[in-house]
Amino acid sequence: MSHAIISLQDIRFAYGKRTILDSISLDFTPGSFSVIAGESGSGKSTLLYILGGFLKPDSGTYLFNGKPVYSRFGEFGLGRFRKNNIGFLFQDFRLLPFLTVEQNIRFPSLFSGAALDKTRLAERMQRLGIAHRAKAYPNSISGGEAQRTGLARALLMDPPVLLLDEPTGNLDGATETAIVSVLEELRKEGLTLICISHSEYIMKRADRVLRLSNGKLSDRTSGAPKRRRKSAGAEA
Amino acid sequence: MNLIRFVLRRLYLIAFIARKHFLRNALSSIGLFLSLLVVITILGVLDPIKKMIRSKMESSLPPQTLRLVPDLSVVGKGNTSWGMFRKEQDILMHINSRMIERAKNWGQPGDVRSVTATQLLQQPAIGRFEDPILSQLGFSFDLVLQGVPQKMFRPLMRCKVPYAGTKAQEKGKEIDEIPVLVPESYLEIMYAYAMINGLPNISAQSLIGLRLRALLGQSIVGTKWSVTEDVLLVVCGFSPPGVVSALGVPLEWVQKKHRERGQMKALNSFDQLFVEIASEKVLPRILSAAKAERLRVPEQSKKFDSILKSLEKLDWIFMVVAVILGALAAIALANSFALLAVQNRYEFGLYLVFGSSMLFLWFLLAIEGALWGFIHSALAIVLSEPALRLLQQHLADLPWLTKLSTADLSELKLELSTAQRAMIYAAAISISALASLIPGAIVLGRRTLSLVKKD
Repeated sequence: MSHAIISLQDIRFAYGKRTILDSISLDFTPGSFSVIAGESGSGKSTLLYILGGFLKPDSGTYLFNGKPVYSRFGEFGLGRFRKNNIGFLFQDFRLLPFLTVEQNIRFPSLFSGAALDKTRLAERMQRLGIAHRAKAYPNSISGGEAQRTGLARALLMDPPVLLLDEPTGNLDGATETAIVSVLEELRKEGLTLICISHSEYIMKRADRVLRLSNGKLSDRTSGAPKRRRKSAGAEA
Repeated sequence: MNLIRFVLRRLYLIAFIARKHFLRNALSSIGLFLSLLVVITILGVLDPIKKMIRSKMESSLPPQTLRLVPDLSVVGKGNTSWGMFRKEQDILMHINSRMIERAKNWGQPGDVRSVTATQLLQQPAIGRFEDPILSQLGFSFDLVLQGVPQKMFRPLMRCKVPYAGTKAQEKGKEIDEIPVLVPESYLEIMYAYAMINGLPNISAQSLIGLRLRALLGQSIVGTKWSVTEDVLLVVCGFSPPGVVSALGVPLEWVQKKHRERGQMKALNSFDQLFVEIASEKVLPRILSAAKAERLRVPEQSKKFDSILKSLEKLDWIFMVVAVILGALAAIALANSFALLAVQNRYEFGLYLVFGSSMLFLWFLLAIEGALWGFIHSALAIVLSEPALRLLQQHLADLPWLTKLSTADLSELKLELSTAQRAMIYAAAISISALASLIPGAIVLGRRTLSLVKKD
């Protein structure tokens, strides 16, 4: 059994009197593909943003590679934590409309102290099938291309964990299939994927599906058994 | 290298964030520029004028130098003689060389450092300008010449005529040509005369080197002594109030004239005493000794009191306007930045996702605000330079400066000091940085999640 990259222990979060997450304990192993599902307001986004280092839980421990995140880092440290460890892919792509596809992808490097590896960038764009749209602006590309651009941007700094917030919610079936196959390839390279999704297709491709209801992990439905066995998956 | 790259990227980010709001922020912060212009007017124009007036009111005497004059209210009291109505009224000027010697020992030993005195030339005199325009108009006036010791005279001299004077040839005759210090009150009269007669404005600077002809032994009212004499007086400088009260000429020349005419009382009679004291501590002792000698310290000039008060009122009005404009600018800027933060919260959210901290976002807002403060203060200071220069050139033409323009306005420098510039930059940068940071931080800081999470 491999060492967990992310470990949540007894995480609680509430907005006022309303409990959003109630005693959540979870582990995610490197290279696992987990889907968080649940009804609207079930706390899945809150969980994702806690994992992303945006939202400090009211109680509990969040360990990343064995090190506590929120108690260890200050405001600057959380920024550095996100920059070095977390990639984020949004449902609505969140591309900056005044930047070209390539500029959008390069944008996170502004926050990095390291020089941008241009060859790597070109390779990744090529691999994601957006190299030919490098000079195009977001309003002139398709939804699939926009999401692949968002994906390339999220992966630019080579984070070990990628958080996805309904990544295919705005895409058609064919595009969804293409995006998911790219994600699967990335997972094979060791990238840990944690995804909020209602898509049956994605759930089937995931190692496991975590169902959140009223702030509790009420159900755990496994995704593709073969893959789950192969990658050891995430453990709750 | 990494540091340079880091700084360059941060600068790019600042420009990147500012790009969309440039025009709006420029307009929002325009009030800051206007406010700074008002502040610059206060600091660059009103302050130098006020400073000049104050220095005039306080006179230009060196520090710790007392000016003493005979106390005319007590002179002659109980004196039944009719001597004070004699033509030679030197009895009123009872400061003599014996008193000067006594004054050196006033108080305790070492209290008095030096004693000097001025002497009025006790001869009537008519003055005429040698200037072609002024002389054609027949402008002439009674002159009172006052002998000023070299020690006080020299620092005020601005011409090349020697203190002792020279001889000028005129119609085969040699006449004295001596330097003269013109009191500012005379300048006022000349200025008014030029204005009434539609002549070009007389500025103090243009008078330097101008010759006055003094007809000694005559007066406008018709007095004429048996022996008259012409003297050329070269305007050599200006005497501030509190030093010379008439036309200042070399003391030695005045004494020579008294000797030539056998005016021995006049030769030993002085109108003002200047006593340099060791420190302010000895002042009560010296004043007491002076009072015993029937001398008093004349009140400082109140001539500019009303102007100073008006300027101070103007200063207050300007200050209030500057504060109101500054506050409005800060509100406008704060509003603009709050709007900026709301409109671009997802963009800011992206910055957070890509590794920025909330503090860094605040820093970006503060930097952009500070940048506006810097731009406006730099712009205001740069634009104020030619404006102040232009104002300096036309100072004498400004109607509200009429009274002052008779003084030597070349002394007046309309400019901002380095400290004032630094203060303007610091104040503008701080105000606009805070005005942008506070609302931006409030909007962004409510919940980090709201920046990232979709509605």
